[in-house]
Amino acid sequence: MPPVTKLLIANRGEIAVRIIRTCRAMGVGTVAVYSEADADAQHTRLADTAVAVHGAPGRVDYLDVPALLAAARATGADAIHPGYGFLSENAAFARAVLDAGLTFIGPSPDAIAAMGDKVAARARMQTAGVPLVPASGVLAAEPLVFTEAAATIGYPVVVKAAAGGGGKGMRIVHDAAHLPDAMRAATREATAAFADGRLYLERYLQRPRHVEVQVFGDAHGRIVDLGERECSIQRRHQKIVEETPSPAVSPELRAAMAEAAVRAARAVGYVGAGTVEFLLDETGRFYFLEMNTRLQVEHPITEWITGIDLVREQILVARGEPLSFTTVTPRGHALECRLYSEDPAHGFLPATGTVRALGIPSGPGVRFDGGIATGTVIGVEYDPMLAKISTWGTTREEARGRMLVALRDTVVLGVTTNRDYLRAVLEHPAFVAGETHTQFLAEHLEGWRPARRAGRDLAAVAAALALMAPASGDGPALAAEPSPFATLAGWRAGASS
Amino acid sequence: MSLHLTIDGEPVEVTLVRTGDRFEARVGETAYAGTLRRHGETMRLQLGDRIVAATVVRERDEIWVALDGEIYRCAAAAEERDGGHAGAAHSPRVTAPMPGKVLDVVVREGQTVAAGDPLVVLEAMKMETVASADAAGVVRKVHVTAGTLVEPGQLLVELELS
Repeated sequence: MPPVTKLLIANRGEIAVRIIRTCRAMGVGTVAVYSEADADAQHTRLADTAVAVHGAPGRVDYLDVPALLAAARATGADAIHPGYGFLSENAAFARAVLDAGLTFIGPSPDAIAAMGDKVAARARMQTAGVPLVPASGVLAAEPLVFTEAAATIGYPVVVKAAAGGGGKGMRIVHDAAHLPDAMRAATREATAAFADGRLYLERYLQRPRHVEVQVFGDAHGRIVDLGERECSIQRRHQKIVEETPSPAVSPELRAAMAEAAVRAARAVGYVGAGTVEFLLDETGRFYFLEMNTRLQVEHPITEWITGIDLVREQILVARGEPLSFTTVTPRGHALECRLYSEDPAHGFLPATGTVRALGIPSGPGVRFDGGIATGTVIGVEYDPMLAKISTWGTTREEARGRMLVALRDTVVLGVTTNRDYLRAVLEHPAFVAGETHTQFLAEHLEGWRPARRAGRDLAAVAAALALMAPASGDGPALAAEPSPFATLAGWRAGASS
Repeated sequence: MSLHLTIDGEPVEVTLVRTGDRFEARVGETAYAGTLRRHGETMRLQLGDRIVAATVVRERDEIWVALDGEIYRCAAAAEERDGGHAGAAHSPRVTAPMPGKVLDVVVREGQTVAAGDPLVVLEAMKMETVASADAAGVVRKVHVTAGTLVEPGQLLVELELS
C-alpha cells in the first residue's frame, strides 16, 4: 500500500494550513502550491516546500492538473490532498493522480463520479433505500392527475417545471383546491420560459434544517458514522454557523440518519471521509440532498466532539490501514463560525484590503483555523473565507458562551469582516432556543446593521491620540520612528488649544 | 487641538491635549483624562481605575481601532468624498461598488434607461453584483468592457439624467 511520506496539498488558505499541521504531527512531509497572488500566503510559509503553480494560460492556478502533477513529481511527493473546493470532487483529477502513480487522499474516482452526478446519485440512493424528497415523475397536465399525485406526496407541494430553473414555473400549493389553477399557471409560465410546459410535483419543505452526517470508510469494508452537524444558518446557500449535535435531532432520529448515511456511503463503496447531507423538515422527517465526497469546511466541530483528527484518519486510510477507532463516543457540544471578508450591512459585498493587525482567540475550548497573518492581502481572486472559529463546551450554552468570547477576541483590522454579524446570530433568542432552519437569517437578521457601541467615543480618542505627533514623553521606539499617521491625507486638525 | 473625524460613518469632534504620557480629551459632553503608553500599534489607556487596551492601525484612508472587543473605523471628516453615490441623491456617474471584474455591460451608449435598470454586471470572489442606474436617463459613455478589472469607486458608466 502507498506509504504517504510526502503530501502535496492542492489547495490554499485555512484548509491547507490545517492539513499541514496534521502532517507535521504525523511526520509526513508537506508540499504547498501557490498562485502568483498567494506567493506570500500563510500556507506557503508553513509547508516544508512550496512550489509556484502559476496556471497555464486559460487555466486557474489551483485547477491546473498538469502543473500540480508536475509539482508533485518535482518535489518527490507521493500523495495529493485536494482539501475542499477546487479539484476535491473532480473524478478526473482523482483518476489522473492515481494514473501518475500517486496516492489520492479521498475516495475512488468512481465514488466521486457516482455522487457527483446529482440525478444519477438520486436514483442510486432510491435503490439503496435512502429517503428522498417525495416527488412525482413528469405528469400529464390534467387536474385529476395532479391532485392524485399530490395526495400521494402529501401537502404542501411545489409544482416544478421539468425543464426548470430560476424559480420559473414554480408554484407552492397548500391544498387540492388550489392545485388546478397552479398547474395551469405553471404550464403557461414554463412554456413561455423554456418552450417546455412539462411539470412534476415535489413535497415542499417549509423552513427545513440542513443536517449532515459525517461518515468514514476504510479499505477493509468498514464504514462508520461520526454523528451529525447542523448547518442551517446560511446566507445565499452558504453556511456561516454550524453545530453538533443538532438541537433538533433526538437519539432515535440520530440513529436513523446515521443508518441512512452509512447505507448511502456503502452504495458507492465509499472509502475515506465523506458527508451525507440531508434536509430535515419540521415534522422530523429527513431527505437525502447530496453526498460531499471530501473533507467538509465544518469538520472541526466533529473533531471537537469525537476527539478524532479527521485529516490524520484520511492519511491512515489512504495508506490502507484500518480506521484507528472502533467506537465513536461524542462528548459535549461544538459550534463553528466562519469568518468572511465581507460586509453584512451592505448585501454581504466582498471586502478587500490588507490585514494590518490580527487578534487570534484562545482559551478553554477555543480553536482557530486560519489562513491569514498580519500583512496578508485579501484580494478578489479567491473565496472570502478568512478563518473558522470553533468552540467546545459540555453543553450547547457553554459552547455558545465561549464562542461569543472567542468572536470578541477575534480582531481583524484593515479588512471588513462578518464578525459582528456572527455575534448577532449567536445572541439571537431564536438561536439560543435552537430554532435554527435555512430561513433563519432571512427571518431574523434581514436588514442587520451594526449597533452603536459604548466604546465609540473612547475609540475616537484613541484614533486622535495615534494621529497626534508623538510627544516628548513617548518611549524610544516611538520617538525614533515617524508616526504612521503623519502622512495621512485629508485629516483636518484645528488650532492647538 | 481638535480633530474632526467620522467614526463608523458618524461625525465626531475630539478635543485633545497631551502632555507627556498624560492626556485630556473631550468628545461631545464626555471628558476623558488618563495616561497613555504605546508599543507600536498597541496602546494602553489608563482612565482612573480602568485600563483599556487598544490596537490602532491604518489601512488606506482609514484608521481602525480595536478597543474592548469592538472594532471601529475612523476617517477624516471630508467635505467631499470621491466615488460611490455619496452626496447627490441621483448621480449621473455610476461607479463600481466593490473591487472586481466586469462580467457584462448590458447597455449601449445612447440607450435610454429607467431608474433601477441594470447597466454593468460585476463579479468579485465568486459573487455577482449589478451596478444599476440611480435615475432615468440616457447612457452617455460606457467606460468599461467585459473583463475590465475595477477598483471601488471607479467610473463605469456616465448617464445623462432626464
